[in-house]
Amino acid sequence: MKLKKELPYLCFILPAFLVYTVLMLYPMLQAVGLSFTDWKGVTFENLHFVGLKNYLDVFSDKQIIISITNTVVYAIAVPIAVTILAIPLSVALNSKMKTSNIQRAAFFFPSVPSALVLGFLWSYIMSPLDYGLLNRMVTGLGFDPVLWLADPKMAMVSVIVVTVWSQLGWHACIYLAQLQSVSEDLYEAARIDGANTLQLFFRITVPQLKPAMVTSVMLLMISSLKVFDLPFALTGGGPGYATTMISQVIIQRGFVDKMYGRSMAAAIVFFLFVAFITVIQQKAGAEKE
Amino acid sequence: MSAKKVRNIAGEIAMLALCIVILIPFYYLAVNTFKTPQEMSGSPLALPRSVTFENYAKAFENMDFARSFSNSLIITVVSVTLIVLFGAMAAYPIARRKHKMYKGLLAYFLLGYMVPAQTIMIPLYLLLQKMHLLNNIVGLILVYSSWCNFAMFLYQGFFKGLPMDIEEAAMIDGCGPWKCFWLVVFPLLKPITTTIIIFEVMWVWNDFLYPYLFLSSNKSFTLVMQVYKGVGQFSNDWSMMLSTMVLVLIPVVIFYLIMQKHIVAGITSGAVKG
Amino acid sequence: MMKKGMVALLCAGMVLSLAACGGSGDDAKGEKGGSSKNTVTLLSWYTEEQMMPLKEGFEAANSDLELEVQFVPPTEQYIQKLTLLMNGNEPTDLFFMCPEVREDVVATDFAEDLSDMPIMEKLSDNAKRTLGADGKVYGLSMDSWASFMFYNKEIFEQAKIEKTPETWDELVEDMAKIKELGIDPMTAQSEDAGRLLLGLFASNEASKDPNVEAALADGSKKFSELYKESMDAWYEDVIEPKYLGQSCLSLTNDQQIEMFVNGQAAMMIGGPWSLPDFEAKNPDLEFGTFGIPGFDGEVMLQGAANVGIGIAKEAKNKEGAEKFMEYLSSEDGVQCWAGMFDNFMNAADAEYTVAPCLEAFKTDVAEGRVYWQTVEWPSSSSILEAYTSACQSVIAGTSTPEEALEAVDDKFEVILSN
Repeated sequence: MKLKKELPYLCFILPAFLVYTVLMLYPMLQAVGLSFTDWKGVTFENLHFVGLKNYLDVFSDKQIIISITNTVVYAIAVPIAVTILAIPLSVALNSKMKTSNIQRAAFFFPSVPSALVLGFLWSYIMSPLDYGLLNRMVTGLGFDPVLWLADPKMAMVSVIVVTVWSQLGWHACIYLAQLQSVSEDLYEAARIDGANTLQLFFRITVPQLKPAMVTSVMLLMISSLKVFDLPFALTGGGPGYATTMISQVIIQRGFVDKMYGRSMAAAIVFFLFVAFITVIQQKAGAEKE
Repeated sequence: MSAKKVRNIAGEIAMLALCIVILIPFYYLAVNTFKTPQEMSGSPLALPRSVTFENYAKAFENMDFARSFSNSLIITVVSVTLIVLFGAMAAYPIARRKHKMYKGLLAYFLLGYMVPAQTIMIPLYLLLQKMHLLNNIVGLILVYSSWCNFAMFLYQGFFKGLPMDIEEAAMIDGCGPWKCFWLVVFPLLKPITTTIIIFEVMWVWNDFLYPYLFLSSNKSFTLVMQVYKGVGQFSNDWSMMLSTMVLVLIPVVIFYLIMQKHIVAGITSGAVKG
Repeated sequence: MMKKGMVALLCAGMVLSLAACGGSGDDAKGEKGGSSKNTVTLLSWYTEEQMMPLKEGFEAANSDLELEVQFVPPTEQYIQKLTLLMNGNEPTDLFFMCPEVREDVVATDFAEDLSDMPIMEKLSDNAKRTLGADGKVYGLSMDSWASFMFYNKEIFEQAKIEKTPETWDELVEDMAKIKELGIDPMTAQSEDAGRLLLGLFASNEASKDPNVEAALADGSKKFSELYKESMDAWYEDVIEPKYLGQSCLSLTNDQQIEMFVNGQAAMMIGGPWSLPDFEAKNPDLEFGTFGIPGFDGEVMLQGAANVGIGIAKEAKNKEGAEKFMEYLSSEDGVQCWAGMFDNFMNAADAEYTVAPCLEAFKTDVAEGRVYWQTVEWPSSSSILEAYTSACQSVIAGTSTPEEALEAVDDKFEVILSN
């Protein structure tokens, strides 16, 4: 009975449901299915069910483990760095300066171009050759040139730095949105009580920003876990496997090594991991509200 | 001048300086496309001694700019239209109706957001192949339209903050759900629609993985794919590579300059609070 | 009333989409104002510009046919694209074949067997087996490439090196002398981190037995067994003293060329394809070539029969494709090709010239006395990726030579057991 009443409304959902189910969920289910087989990618004829073998192989595959580690490190570092920088930036952008709009536009811009283009661009800036801008500046200040992309640890730092540079302004704007709904009275009251600027910042501003923080961190974490374009363009995953992320290994194991079963298993494991993180964040966010 | 005013002006100058620093990479990119290799190695940040557009002319021709641009444009416009329509329509009952199953549907749609593209890449390719939609812009557009789940998520979040009075008034007046949605509700969604359009346009325009997988004929290449092709092609000629990148960025910059107020205002107005 | 609205909406969406795709996909006629030329499609390793002379020659000889060149940059991207086509249903009529895809071509039964073509009698066995398997030939390899060490003559003079090194030890000594001048002895792009080692192995082992790596394909010998000696020498003599520095790990092709032509590095591994790049970036550069020498002075050039064109079995325009191959293998076609690439030609009776610095290698290459690991290894793309990453780790100091060899061993194991 109740369902019949919903019928016209269900039709609203129909188009989205159709394309989403056919083009996202169905391939997803197929991926799950394939992860239990030894499919080699040519035909479906010699397909064999291999149970959990692929999943076990995922955990004994050194490159997959390395790439998971890399991705996790990246997905932790980026939200932390962006949050620490974006909050003060949003406060600065909130002040009623004449050029505020220009400032916001300027900081926001790096998140607009394709990550592929940004990755290639920065590979020139970080180049060890003479036109490598960063090293020119570093040696100009009297230091030794840095192997931004050739040293395994520095390469990861470089990928993180470029990501932060690109995402900073956008997330500062998310905080900015939240800031504008913070009542001035709170600040007034605190000032009357004798609080200084720093105390105002940490005791009032930051706590008030918690909802925005939840959104921002979730967006950053999920997009960092899924990242592909930027490290691919900046370092190609190297040197060695130092900046290879899980998304790149999935492609590598599948298309190049023809181990589609294992590639899908890695992808599913990864998806479960992302889902797990999301659920935890939603719970944490809900509590705070 | 009071101390406060001095501090304010100093603060403003400091912020502007930071803005310049943030944007230096783009300056570096643009300025060096006009230089000879020796000039670039000698002084990467200086203005070029003489301005030649030769690199651009070559890059422009090589990447078939007009065609790639129109491909990107068509794909983006149609896809984003579908995403907005499907997303808004789906969000309406999920946000407004009380039946328990809508919660389930919401979770159902959210599932896909966590799925990285690489997971479904290969099955999706096989699916499009079966549907004979490979190397076909329609196939690619349909794939992008399946990204409507994220738009739906944003819409339903926005609905939560939207008071129901106007809708209820329209219903009492005898408006059916279909009419009610298009005539009354959808216009009210304008702020979030603007935000969604902007983000989806950026994501679809900049996407490189799907066009790379599903389009093979050079004629159907998108603009971003030209960059990827350029990497392999100009592995020995970075000045062509830089020029190609600049050309690819120009439409993006123009779009940004036009929409910039809306983008920042959209986010700032709290549309994306979830 | 509601249903009508839905249907209308969906129709609008479809019509919009269909109208939008008017200029998509396989429409070559659109731009020529609807002329009905027959199109032959080619998935191409080379750009349209590079293929132009061949395309023009072919179209002149066959006025009712048009060649559509679909360029995909080599090597990784090209292989990925070709793999997609091989696993799908919409191949191009013609395609460039590279040794890395041999197994796939056989497994998907993708290509026509070309061994009955008259030109095959003029090709060396090496050329036929590189793009073929089990006696069949899937790609017509028109030319071969070779790579060797380029060196900067001025820097060699400065370092008082009088002749090019003829043994590995001499090469190492030369590197030491150059390093003392404060110049990098050698540069390489990050993709080629392990190329010098491949060349050393070729000269050490393949010169004595070109089939030395055949045992790897069935697992009877391990990679680490074969490569240990060369790897240790490469590590101790070149990597530890930093004659090949860590900065190479972030260099692109473009950047390695820059370092070489600007005199920042004295040596670089390259091939005939490097010549136009050197010319473009620094026409005044005086450079020479020598093959990478082994311990006892033997030299086996790195090289292989080059990528060649094959016909897809599921080609839409089989006739057109066959006409193209006819033209390609004709005298006109061979001459055209020779002019296009300045490589070493495979056809025994082809008359052609090469650049002076390549003269020394002409006979060896034409007779197939070259060696290249990706032709010899099974699943070579995968192995090469693992091998290169392993070498990069050694150069970066994150793994020892033994660990690197083990990593490649592991990869072989996985590949062979799959």
